[in-house]
Amino acid sequence: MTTPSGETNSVDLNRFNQVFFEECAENLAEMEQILISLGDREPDPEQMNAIFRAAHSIKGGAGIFGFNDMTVVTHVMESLLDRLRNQEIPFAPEMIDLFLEAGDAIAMQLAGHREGKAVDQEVIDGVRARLQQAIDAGGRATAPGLPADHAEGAPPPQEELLPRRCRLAFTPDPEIFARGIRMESIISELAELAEPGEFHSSARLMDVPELAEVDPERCLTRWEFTMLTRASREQILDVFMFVADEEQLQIEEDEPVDRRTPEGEPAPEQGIVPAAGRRAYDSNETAPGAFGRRGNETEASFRVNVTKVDQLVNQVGELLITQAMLSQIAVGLDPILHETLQRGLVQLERNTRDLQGSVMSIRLVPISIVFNRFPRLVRDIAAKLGKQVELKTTGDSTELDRGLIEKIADPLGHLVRNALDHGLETPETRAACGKNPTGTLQLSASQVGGRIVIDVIDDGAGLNRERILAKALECGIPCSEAMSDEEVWQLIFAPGFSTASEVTDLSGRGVGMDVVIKNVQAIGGRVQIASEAGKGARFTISLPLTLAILEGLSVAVGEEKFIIPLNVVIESLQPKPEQLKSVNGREVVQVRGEYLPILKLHRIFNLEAEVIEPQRGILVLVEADGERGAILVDALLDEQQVVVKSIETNYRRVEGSAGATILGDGRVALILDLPELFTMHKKL
Amino acid sequence: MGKKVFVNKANITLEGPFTVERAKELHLLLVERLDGMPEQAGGGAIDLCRVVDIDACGCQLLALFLENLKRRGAAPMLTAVPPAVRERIVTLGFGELLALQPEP
Repeated sequence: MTTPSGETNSVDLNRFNQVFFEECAENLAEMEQILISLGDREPDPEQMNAIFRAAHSIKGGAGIFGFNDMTVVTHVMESLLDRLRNQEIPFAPEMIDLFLEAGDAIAMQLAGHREGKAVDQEVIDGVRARLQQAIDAGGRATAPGLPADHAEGAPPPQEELLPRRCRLAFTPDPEIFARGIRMESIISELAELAEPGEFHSSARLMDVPELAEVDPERCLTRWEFTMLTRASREQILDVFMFVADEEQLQIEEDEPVDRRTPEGEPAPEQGIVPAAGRRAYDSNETAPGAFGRRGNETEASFRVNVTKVDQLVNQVGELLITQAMLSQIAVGLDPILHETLQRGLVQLERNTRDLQGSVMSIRLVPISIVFNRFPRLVRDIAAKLGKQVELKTTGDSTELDRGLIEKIADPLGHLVRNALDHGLETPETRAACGKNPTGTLQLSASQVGGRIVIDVIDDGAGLNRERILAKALECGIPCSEAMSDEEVWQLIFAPGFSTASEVTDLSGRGVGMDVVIKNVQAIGGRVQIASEAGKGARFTISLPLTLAILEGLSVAVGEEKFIIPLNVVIESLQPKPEQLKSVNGREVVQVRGEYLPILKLHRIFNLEAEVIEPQRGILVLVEADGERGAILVDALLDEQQVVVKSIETNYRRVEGSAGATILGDGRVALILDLPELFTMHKKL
Repeated sequence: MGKKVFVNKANITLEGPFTVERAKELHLLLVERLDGMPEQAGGGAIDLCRVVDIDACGCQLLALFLENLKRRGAAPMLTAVPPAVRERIVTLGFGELLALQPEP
C-alpha cells in the first residue's frame, strides 16, 4: 500500500509569504534610503551595519521562506558588506551604485515572486558577478579602481574570533511549520557557521500524544545544536532572526580555545546565557549583525491584514448609521419619561465616536512611505538629465489613509518627474541666470483641517504662460489671452497636453498631467498650481484625510437632505436684505465687506425648494480650494459624522457630489463637493 | 467513506514529498495505518524508497508515527531511505529519533 502522492496545500503559505514580501520591501527601501543619503560618502559604522542588516534580513528570510533565488545576490552583497564592515577591503564610491543596482535586482526578484513579473536573469547574474568582482578586487593589497591611499589607510582587519564550543537549545513556536518557516534553512545556515565537521543537530519530541490527536502542523519538536565555531554570538543570533523569541533560544558558550590566556585568571561566567532571539538583541541597533527594528516600529506592533482593517472600518461605519438612527428616533421621545434611554444614547454616541477615531487611526500611515521613494528617483533622473538637484522633504510623519497613500504615489511621482524634466534647469542655465547651479525640489506634507496638503515645489524656471497658451491652441484646447494665470496653468491638465519640445522617457510623453488630475480627483483630491517665471512652480495636492467617514453638516433643501463637509463650513447666517446684491446679474451676499456668490442648491440639482429667496432661507458660508461662496438652504438640520459611500459604485456619478451617505432615517443624502459646485454654479 | 483496508499490514511504503504542505493528508494516512495495526504487531518496515523530499514537519510526523507504533508493540524501522532524504533527516537532527540505520 502506498500513500497518494497528489499535491495538497494544507497550509496557506501565501499568507506567510506575504509577511516576507513586506519585510523584504521594507528592508530594500531602508537600504536604498541609506545609500541615497550617502551621496559619495563612505557609510559610517552605523549606516554600514544598517545596510548589512537589511541585506542579511532579506537573505535570511528568502532562505527560510524558500525563495532561494533571492539569496544569490544578497549572499554576495552581504559578503562584500561584511568585508567593508570589517575594513578588510576599502570603500569606493562606485560601490554605492553597485549596491543600488543590487537592490534593484533583488526588488525585481521580489516582484517576480510577489506579482509574477518577469525576472531578467542576465541582470541578476551581472550584478552578482560585479559584486563578486568588487570582493575579489578589494581583497588585493592595491585593488584596481579603488584608491590606494584608502587601502593603506584602512585599519588592519579585526582579529578573527577563536573557535569555541557552543550549545544551543531551540524550542520553536508551535506554529513554526504552519508559518511556512523552513527549519532546514535555519539549520543549514547555522551549520555554515561551524568549523568543518563540527556541527551536530539533535531533535527531541517534547510530547508523544496519540497520533490521531496530533495536529500535524503543530511543532512538538525541540532542537539541540552543538558546534565548534568562530562565529560571534550576534552571527548565531542572526540565524534565528525571524523565528526565535527571547525565551525560545538558549545559548551556552564554552571558553574559546586560547592558549595565550594565562592560567589562573578567573574564567568568564559560564552556563546558559539568558537572552537570544530577535527581541533580545534588538536593543543594540548598532551592534554588528544586530537585527534592528525599523523607524518607530515598536515591539508591541504586529501586522494585520488590510482587509480585516477595512472590514472593521465598514462595521464601525454601519454602527455609526445605527447610532444616528437611534438618536433620531429618540428625538421624538419624552425626555422626562425616557431620561435613562436618552443618557444611554448620549453615551453611545460618545463611545461610537471614540471607536471610530481609534479604528480610523489604524488605517493612517505616514506619508514618508511615499516620500522615501523619491530620493532614488531624483538621483537617477537628475543624473540622466545632467542636472544637479537637492531634494528636501518636510512633514514626512504626516499621516494619511493607507488607501490614499497607495493612490497618491503615482501622481506624485509624475509631478516629481515633471519638475525635474521641465521645471529645473541645467546647472549652466541656472548659473547664467544667477541661480545656484543646484536646483531644489521640495516635497512637503501637512494636515490642514480635515485635509492633507502635499506640495511639490521647485525653484526652476516656472511655467511658461505663452508656451502653454500656444500649445493649448495647437491642441485645440479652448483658451484665450484673457485667462488668468491660474486658469492658464490648469490647461496643462488637459488630455494630450505637453509643451515638451521632444518626447523623453521621463515625462514629455503628452500623457501624464491629465492622468495626474484624474487620479487625484478620483480620491477626492484637487491640484492647484502656483508659478512665477524664473523662480519656480508649486503644485499643491489637497486630499481628504480619509475616504471612509467625514464630519458633516446636514442641511435641508425642499424634501432633500444634503451633507456639507464640516471642514469647508465657515459660518451660517440669515442674510438681511441690505446684504444681498447683484453683481453681473448674479446674486451675491456681502459679508464683512466681501461679496460671496450665492449657490442655490435647488437650482443646481433641479429641486422643489421651500425657500427660493435668500433672505428667507439660511446661507451657509463655505470655502474650498481658496474659493468662497454661500450655499442657500431651507434649514440646518444636524452636525454629524457620516459614512461615505460611493455613489458611483451603487448608482452613477452625480455631478456636484463627492459621494453619498445613509442617514439615521434610512434616507440617502448626497455629500456636496464644493469645488465642483462652484464650477456648476458658474455655468448656470 | 468506508474504512480503508491495507493489504500488507506489516510493511508500509510511503510516497512523494513528506512535507508540511501534505501534513494533513499524510497524518490521515498514518492514522489509518495505525488504526489498521493489530495489537502486538511485531516488526514493521517503513519503506521510504519513494519519498522524494522531507522537511522538519515530515520528520516530526514520521517520528510520532514510529513512537505510536512502538506503543503498540511494533519495532518499526526505516528502510530504503534515498540518500538525499537520509541527508536531510540527519541535518534536521532526526537521525536518532527515526532510528536511522547507518548507510550500507
